[in-house]
Amino acid sequence: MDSDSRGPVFAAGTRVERFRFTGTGGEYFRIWIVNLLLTIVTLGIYSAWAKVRKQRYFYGHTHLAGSTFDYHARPEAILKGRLIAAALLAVYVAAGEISPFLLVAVIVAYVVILPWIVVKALQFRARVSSWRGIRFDFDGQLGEAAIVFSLLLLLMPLTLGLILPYWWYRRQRFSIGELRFGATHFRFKAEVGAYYRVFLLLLAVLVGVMVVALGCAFVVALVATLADQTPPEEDSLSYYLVGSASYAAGLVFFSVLNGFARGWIGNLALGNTYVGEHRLRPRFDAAALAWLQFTNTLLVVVTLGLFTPWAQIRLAKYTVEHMSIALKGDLDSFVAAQAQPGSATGGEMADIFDVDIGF
Amino acid sequence: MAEFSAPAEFFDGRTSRPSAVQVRVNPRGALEIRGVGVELDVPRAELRVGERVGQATWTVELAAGAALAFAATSEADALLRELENSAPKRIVHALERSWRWGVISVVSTAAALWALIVFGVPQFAVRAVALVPPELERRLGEHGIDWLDRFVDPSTLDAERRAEVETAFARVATTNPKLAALRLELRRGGAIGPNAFALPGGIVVMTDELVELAEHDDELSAVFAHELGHVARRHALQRLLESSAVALITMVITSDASTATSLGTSLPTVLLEAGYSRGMEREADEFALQWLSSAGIPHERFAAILERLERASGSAAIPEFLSTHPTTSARVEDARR
Ligand SMILES: [Zn+2]
Repeated sequence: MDSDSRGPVFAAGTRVERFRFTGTGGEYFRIWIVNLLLTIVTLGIYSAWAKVRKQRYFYGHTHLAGSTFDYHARPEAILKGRLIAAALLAVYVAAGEISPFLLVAVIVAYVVILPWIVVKALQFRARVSSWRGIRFDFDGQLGEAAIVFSLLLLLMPLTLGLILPYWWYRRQRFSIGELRFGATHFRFKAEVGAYYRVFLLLLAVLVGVMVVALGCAFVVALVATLADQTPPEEDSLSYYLVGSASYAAGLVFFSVLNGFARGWIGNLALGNTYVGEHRLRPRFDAAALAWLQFTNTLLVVVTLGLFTPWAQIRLAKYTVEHMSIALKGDLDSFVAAQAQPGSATGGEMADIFDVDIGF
Repeated sequence: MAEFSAPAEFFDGRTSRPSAVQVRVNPRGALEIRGVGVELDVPRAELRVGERVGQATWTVELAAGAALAFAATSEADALLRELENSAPKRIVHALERSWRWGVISVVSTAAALWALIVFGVPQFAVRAVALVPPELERRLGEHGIDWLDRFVDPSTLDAERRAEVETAFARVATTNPKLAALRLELRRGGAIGPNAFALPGGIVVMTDELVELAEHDDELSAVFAHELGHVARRHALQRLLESSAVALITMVITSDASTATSLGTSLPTVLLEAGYSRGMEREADEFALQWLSSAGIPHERFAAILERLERASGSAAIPEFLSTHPTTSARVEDARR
């Protein structure tokens, strides 16, 4: 991170435009629950329509300079993509049940086609997004994707994960740096050394979280021993409850790590992203995000999922409203490029396989 | 006819410069867009009205990448309602705005999920079982025994006792022509104690502890008959399909939930994993009692081993056929009836 991620040190004539988010939990809850019901009643078919509605809600409430973003994907395209992705998943599961060798073969095949999926997904996501009638696009090439998502991914276990920060850097350089807004290319100027620093900090947080978690477990065990309670039997209801509770505790602790990662990596990656000459300025407070994610997960667990829409809105509001863009010139002079509609298959496959692309 | 008119932002699709315009539906049904330097009449057929979601900005796409963006005002609402001719979209939008429907949806979602998991999934599994090729089922069974062998040790029974158990097994297995390719696997159970269960494809596993618990070989035959009841109806495969279906439902529901929401939905899987359903156990019991009658073995043999197992299983995991749903006493009574 460099000097101007600390405070507003800008040359005269530079204007800063803030992003705003106007969605509310109460409004989104009603949308979310109706779409969830329709998804269940239609045995999942409606999920494609639900996804479009969700995206349109979040985009349509994200404002920059008086205009909102827009999402143009067609549900039919998303449904087709989901069906193909589900078929690939079914092949993966079936292979795992039949023989471990077949499973390895399928995994290798998927790692080989992964770069193509990633490129298609990033393209789809960019091309269905617009601001002021100008579409985004993605120029990443298959060759670069093959290096990042096949080669480096295969090297990961061989290097005992030491290249993880480097991989993250290459991944974001690809997914953010190859974006285009109309005819204006993005530029990604973060440096790999900064990624290693951030990941070291994250490692420290992980160790801290684990110490706290183990400490809690120790206290619980100690109290149980002092109270002379035998551990619950394997078949009893309390066994399932204890199992579920420790799973939930794991989720909550993990959310703290997630918050720190979002804050630090977001500041680093987005803070070094330029759209033409304009520079993005995230001002995330990692500790605040960790607290936000911690409370979100806790409330989602306690409410058996009903808090989910509020959690999503809280996260979106924090993220969007701590972003601004430092302008060289104005936002009125972007020019459109010739756009073409992307295939949804890549986008949905990335969705279902949980390849977390971009920020 | 009412006048529909609302302010909007107009984008020409070539640059990011917005123009403030006033939009009106004229008497011929076309859209009149008027602003500084903007004068457009767009026929309704050339519009693509974006879906309205809550109070988010609404957009109407025009030809050649041009677009209109409306803030969520009541005028814009009236105008877009005039333009939007898809009834389903209108209905969904109306449902999404109402708190009453929000509450109704929470209750219905819970009810639908419950019905889907309790009734829909088993029905699906019963039908899907018929579509699974026997060869695949056999491989699933092999896979299962490999997995099991990570937790149990080879049997320590001597050859003579083994042969006797094999005979008790063969006695049941050979009497039913429906049960082809059956195989018995004996293991030292250890942590899983006295136990027996059927894997997909007709592999029946019995632990040494259960063999030692039996006081008569007919009791073993009775247990085998129960397990073969599961085999005949392909219950293990059915159960596997059920848990896959639940996993799939979980995935569809949580697919766009970015925060960790999987806990609530992992509970159904946990509950399903608890064992065979009440109906399945009853079917297996009926099968066993029928076989006992046909082989001339008193039902008391089955009742006796059930009772002894219940006493023995105090600390170990509950044996498969002591599944908790039909209580053991009810089953013992059924056997003695
Ligand atoms: Zn049974």
